[in-house]
Amino acid sequence: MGSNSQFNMSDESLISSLACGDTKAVQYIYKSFYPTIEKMVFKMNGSVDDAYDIFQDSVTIVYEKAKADDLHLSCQLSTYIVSVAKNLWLKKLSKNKRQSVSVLYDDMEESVAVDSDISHFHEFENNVTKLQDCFIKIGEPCNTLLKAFYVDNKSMQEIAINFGYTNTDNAKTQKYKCLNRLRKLFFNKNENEFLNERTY
Amino acid sequence: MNGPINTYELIEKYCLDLMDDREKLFYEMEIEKNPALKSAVHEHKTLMLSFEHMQDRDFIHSTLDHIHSSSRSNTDAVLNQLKLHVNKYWKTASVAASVAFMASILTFMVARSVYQRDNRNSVIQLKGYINNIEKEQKKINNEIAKVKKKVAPVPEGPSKYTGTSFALTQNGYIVTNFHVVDGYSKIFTFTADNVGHQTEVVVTDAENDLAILKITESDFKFGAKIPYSVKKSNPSIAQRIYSLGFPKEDIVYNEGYISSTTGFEGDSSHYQLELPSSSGMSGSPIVDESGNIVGIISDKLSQSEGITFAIKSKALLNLIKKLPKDFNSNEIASNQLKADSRSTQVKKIQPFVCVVKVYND
Repeated sequence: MGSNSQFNMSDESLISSLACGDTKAVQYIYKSFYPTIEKMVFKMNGSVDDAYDIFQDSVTIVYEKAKADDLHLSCQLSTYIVSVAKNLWLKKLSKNKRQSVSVLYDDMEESVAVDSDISHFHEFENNVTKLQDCFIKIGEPCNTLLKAFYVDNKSMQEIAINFGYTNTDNAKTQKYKCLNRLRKLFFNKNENEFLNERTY
Repeated sequence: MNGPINTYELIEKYCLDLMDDREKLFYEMEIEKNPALKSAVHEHKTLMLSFEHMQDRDFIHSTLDHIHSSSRSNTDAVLNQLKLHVNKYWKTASVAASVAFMASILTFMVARSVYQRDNRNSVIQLKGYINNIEKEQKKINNEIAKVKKKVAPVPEGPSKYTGTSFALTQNGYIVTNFHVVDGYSKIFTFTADNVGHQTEVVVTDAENDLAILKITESDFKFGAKIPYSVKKSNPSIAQRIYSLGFPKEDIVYNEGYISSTTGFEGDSSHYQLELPSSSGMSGSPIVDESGNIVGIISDKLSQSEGITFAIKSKALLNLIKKLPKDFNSNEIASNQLKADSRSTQVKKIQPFVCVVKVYND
């Protein structure tokens, strides 16, 4: 589907600019692959929303692999991303126990094995769901504080100012307490685990 | 607190790969020796990976949302594309017409069906466009909510007065003494994590020296359900009680007993307690042995050591009746601490005991 665009980017340069978090690369990917994936999901009983969700997940997978320098393709990027999308959608369908669709879309041109990438992704997604759950449970200000540091990459100085701490050390102590609570919730720990001891 | 923080800073430094080779080597040796540390490092890595994934998907989702909605809203582009398609097929049709009339009709029909399919696509695309408007709207609403919850900064400089308070509901209703907040509008409640939250007075009872306050942040929540209940009936003389309060920066536990069921000069709304107390502990909860709140510290006899007066919990329950409907009094109706040891009780109550500080305007 690269023909949709005015110019063609090689897979290699696309992947490397995506790895840097270049939004132009994301835009190129959208223009080049989204129509194909939308059509495919339509054919397999999906809606526009389904198609877009699947596409977002697929691009996330490609982005994370690109970032980790782990995207060594033996095929074209388009083949890879379409295979990922197809498998994600099939997984979602079978999870929702909708009708079997293997018959509906067996005329897929070529596809590559993406199972391990997808199961990694689902593992991450589950962890994120769990994490978000824990974030709700730890409440404020831990929720915002930890997200500010670990998700929005704010510095401890900024956090100290935003949260009204008198100095960075106080903010650090607070961050530690919050992370510790989060950790306990996330791994279903009791309180007073080893980290409270001073044995090491 | 330094021990665990240092430990954790080292774990973080190691996981972020910020150690130099030598330090890393030594640290890895230590990890091998210490299975507790090893699993802590592993857990930290798992958490960090989850954070990273959260970040990655946020980036992709927001970037794509932007592209997706702007491409959908660009109807001109969609129309142009449509025209392009039609032109292409019309050209095919005219070429076919020069070869054979029948063939041209056939081609025309093919072209028409393609055109119709494109039309159908544009309908679906339009639907996507509306979905996106909805999404955009949600985003805007979220932004508004974010701006709304912008937390008021804790005032600079020392506070005028501090007292103790404790939670009545998970969404931030707390109680303290009336004399702590009397005459002040700049009130901040510091939760167990030492973060200040802007607070307003909701209802007061000057006679019984009680004030119910509310933390104003709309999304404020204590980390768990209220574990204690506020007791309706009065405890009897000689019953053992304890208190949790903030005479200094850190929480302080004290224990004692009810020495009289009336307060200063026979005041029947108060108890007299044999319990050490000092300034800053005004508003501290008085807890009985099974974890019920039976009173609130109000004052002490200035000349004597150890004699403290507390307001009976009944007065608090009466004041609660004056609260707006969003106050759920069921939250302090059941006690989940009965089976717990004293130290467990204290540990569970502690997060709900806060410092109240008032500032000059």
